[in-house]
Amino acid sequence: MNFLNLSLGEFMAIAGVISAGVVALYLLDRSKRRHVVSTLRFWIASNVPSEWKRSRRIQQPWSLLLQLVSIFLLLLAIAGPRLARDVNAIRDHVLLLDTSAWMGARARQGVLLDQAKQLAIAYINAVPAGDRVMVVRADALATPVTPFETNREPLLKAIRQSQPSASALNLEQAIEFAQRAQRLQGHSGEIVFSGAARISRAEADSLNPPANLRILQVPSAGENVGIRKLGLRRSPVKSDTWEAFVGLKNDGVRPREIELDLHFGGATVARQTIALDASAEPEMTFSFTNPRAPFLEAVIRSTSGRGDAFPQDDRAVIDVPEEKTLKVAVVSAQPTLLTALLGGNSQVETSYKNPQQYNPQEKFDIVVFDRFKPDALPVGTHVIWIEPPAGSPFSIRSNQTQAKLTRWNADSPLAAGLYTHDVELATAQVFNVAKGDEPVAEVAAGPVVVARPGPVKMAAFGFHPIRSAMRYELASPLLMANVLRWMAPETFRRMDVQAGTIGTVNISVDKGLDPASIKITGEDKRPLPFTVEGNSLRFFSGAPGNVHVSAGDRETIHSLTLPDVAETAWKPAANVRKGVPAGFSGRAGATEWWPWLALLGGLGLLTDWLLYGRSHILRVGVGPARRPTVGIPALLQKVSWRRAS
Amino acid sequence: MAEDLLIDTRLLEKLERLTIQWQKSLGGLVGGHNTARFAGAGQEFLDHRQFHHGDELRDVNWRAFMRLEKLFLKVFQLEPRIPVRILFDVSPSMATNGSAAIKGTLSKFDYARKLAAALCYVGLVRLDAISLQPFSDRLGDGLRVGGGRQRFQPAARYLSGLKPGGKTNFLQCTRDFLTKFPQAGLTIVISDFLDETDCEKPLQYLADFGHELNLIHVWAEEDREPPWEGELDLEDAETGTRLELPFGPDALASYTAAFDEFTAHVREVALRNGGRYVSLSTSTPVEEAIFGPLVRSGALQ
Repeated sequence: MNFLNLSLGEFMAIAGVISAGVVALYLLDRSKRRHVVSTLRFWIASNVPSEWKRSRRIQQPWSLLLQLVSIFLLLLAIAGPRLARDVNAIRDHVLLLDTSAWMGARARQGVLLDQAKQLAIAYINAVPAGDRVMVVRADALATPVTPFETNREPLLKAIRQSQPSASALNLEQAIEFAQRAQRLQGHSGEIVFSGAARISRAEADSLNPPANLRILQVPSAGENVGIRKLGLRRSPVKSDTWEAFVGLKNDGVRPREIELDLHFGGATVARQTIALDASAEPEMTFSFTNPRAPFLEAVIRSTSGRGDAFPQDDRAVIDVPEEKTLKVAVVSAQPTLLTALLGGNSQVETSYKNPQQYNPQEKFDIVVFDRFKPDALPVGTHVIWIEPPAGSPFSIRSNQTQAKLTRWNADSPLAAGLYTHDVELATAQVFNVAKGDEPVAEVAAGPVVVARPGPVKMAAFGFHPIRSAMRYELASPLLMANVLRWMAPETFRRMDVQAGTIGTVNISVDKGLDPASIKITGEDKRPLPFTVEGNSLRFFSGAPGNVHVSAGDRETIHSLTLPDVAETAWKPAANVRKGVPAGFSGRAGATEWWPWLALLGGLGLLTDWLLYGRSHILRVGVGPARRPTVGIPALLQKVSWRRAS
Repeated sequence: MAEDLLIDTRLLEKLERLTIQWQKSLGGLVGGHNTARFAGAGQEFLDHRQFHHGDELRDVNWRAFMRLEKLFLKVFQLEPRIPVRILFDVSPSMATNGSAAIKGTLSKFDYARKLAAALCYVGLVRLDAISLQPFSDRLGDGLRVGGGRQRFQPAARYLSGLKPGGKTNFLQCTRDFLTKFPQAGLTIVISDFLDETDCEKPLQYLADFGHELNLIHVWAEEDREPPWEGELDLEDAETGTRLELPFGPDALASYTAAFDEFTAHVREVALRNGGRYVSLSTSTPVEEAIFGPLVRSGALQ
């Protein structure tokens, strides 16, 4: 016999103290009490010595005995005794319930998770009553739902409330978690997995099941074709063309034919019938010229009429982010001169103004001053100076004639891709290079194009890109484009949108990319942790939503909404225990004694109260009901007297 | 205010409907509200009698004289103002508390004070002359009030100021009472009637001297059914005598039987002498006692 909650010594000590207390109350009660009465005449008349002998020490022995026994039983109930069991025989089982995305696949009745729940409940009912069980929901993460419990109700409730998630199962991690939990408790027990066990092929190859693993495997539903990837971007070649990228997979063992529809906004932009071999993973690219739409939707349908086991991955939608535009103002006496430089980019919205129309309060992203110096500069706006007059922020060292461009600063992003040399400029201003300024282009006498970084960026051209010989050079629009990109890089950042699965996301990045330039933010705009290994960027998102990844001049929006379906159903080795056990060998059903002990103890006290207490229901002896004379009922009554007085 | 502790205004308003009643024909001052068999100045015709020298000529029945040529005198019924005396027990036995505090009931002393105050108010409203007379071993200093409800405050203040003390001696108190009040009247005794000697003889004296007895026996539940069991050490509240005894259910039955026999004995004394007896437990609220047992007994109407 052992006590779960109390040691034998503790139990005996508490029982001894309480018994002593009850006996003391009894003795206290039967000690002589002094009372002042109105008269003694009736007392003398009532004295019946034949019935009440002074030698009689115990007045109500059965009441005292009943109370002692009841208290002993209640204390036993608190101690939670178990017969013929030792402490080491207690077992802690961990039930891993597969709640991965695949468990939402159709089964003969309901979904796969329903079958897994039935098996899990059957296991819980088969476990001996004294064994403790912890329920853990297993998908990409292992999430404990209950602590180790003997009470079956919260366990069954946790199982019934489980729902399929959107991530794939990481069985290895779930098993490690279960082992760790069992080690912490110090008791042995089984690790029970209930589910389809659909995991990645790499994990299936490397998984080494522990000896105490039991599998309650539900048959994995067969035929499924699903969308695995969906992406959208502007064509790098044609700015008015979109490129959509779709990845499919046939998870079944038979070839399937499906029809793929792509809807951009409300318009169908592509429809294709695709034949998929077993386990095939085709990837397709579609180009279309359509006005910008808020979303791209991909839907697949089976043309053969056969049902799909997992309809959740037959449709994918990505939201197309809004494109940014750059507001540029050109202030010039000849404003139309610069139309050729700024009008070709759809992302640039240019306003042309005469110097008289210039208002420094008007808000623009960039202002171009063409041979004009205003009295007041715009606040917080980037400025491009073309042949700045005296008094501009750039100091002019000299004015050159017939100067030849000799050098482009390869280290400056503004000179990226510019190689034009020997262009003879009729006139050119050579600037003094202030601290922090970057020369971009130079003639023999010095820099003629200078960039000034800072919160408000500035660039100065010592020649006119249209009025000079540069108007015939490709370098002229490229230089202007570089300046605009340098001043407002976020506007010109290349943006891709991809639909993916939640969990771990791998992205290819340029090799040697500085991790400090990478920024990943989740749906709530908070940064997500990531790692960069070689040209692979990896991060984890446990919840569906959009994740923004900015790396260099490229921004990718990952719409993590597709359910993550693992590749293969794990086939456990033959030595792994399978199925719900009929009975646990050598482990007789441990009955919980405490409810019965508590009930008996309570009944004992109730009986004592009815027979000897204040109750008028049942009365032992003759005459009217008396107040209790011994033990707990007497103590309660004394307390009530004191309160009343 | 002390009188507020005795009786509340709501009860006072209800008491105004009541009148103290008595059964005997007692002589008293004219102007009361109880009829008597005595002839005298009154409004109600009682009888005729022969005219004697010195009789009031206004009371001669002249119609009869015209027919019979004999003088007959009309006799009228007397409505006397009878003195009401409330004897109030202030012995220590009235103040024993015992288990009274458990149930929230009053002690016999407080209960008796409230009863006395209520009876006093009823009498005052009917313009009776009330004497409040405490007693224990001797007759204490009493208070005589009369003349309407406005005199109730002094009476209530007097009752509130009473303290228990002494040792009950009914015989001595009766002697003092008969000496102090030679005129017979209604004597209301509020007491537990617990005396070392028998209280029958003194009560009989009172009746023999023409007083109409109205005995109000006040007892606590613990007087009839003591709530204790086991080995008891008892002390008499008045004499200080100690008694140790075991007490059980059977002894309780004997005790209660002895108490019931005692109350029956007191009741017999009252009824035998044409008086009234009302037994009141302190567990009965005062208002319920007045409008219940006291009205039913005829002491109040």
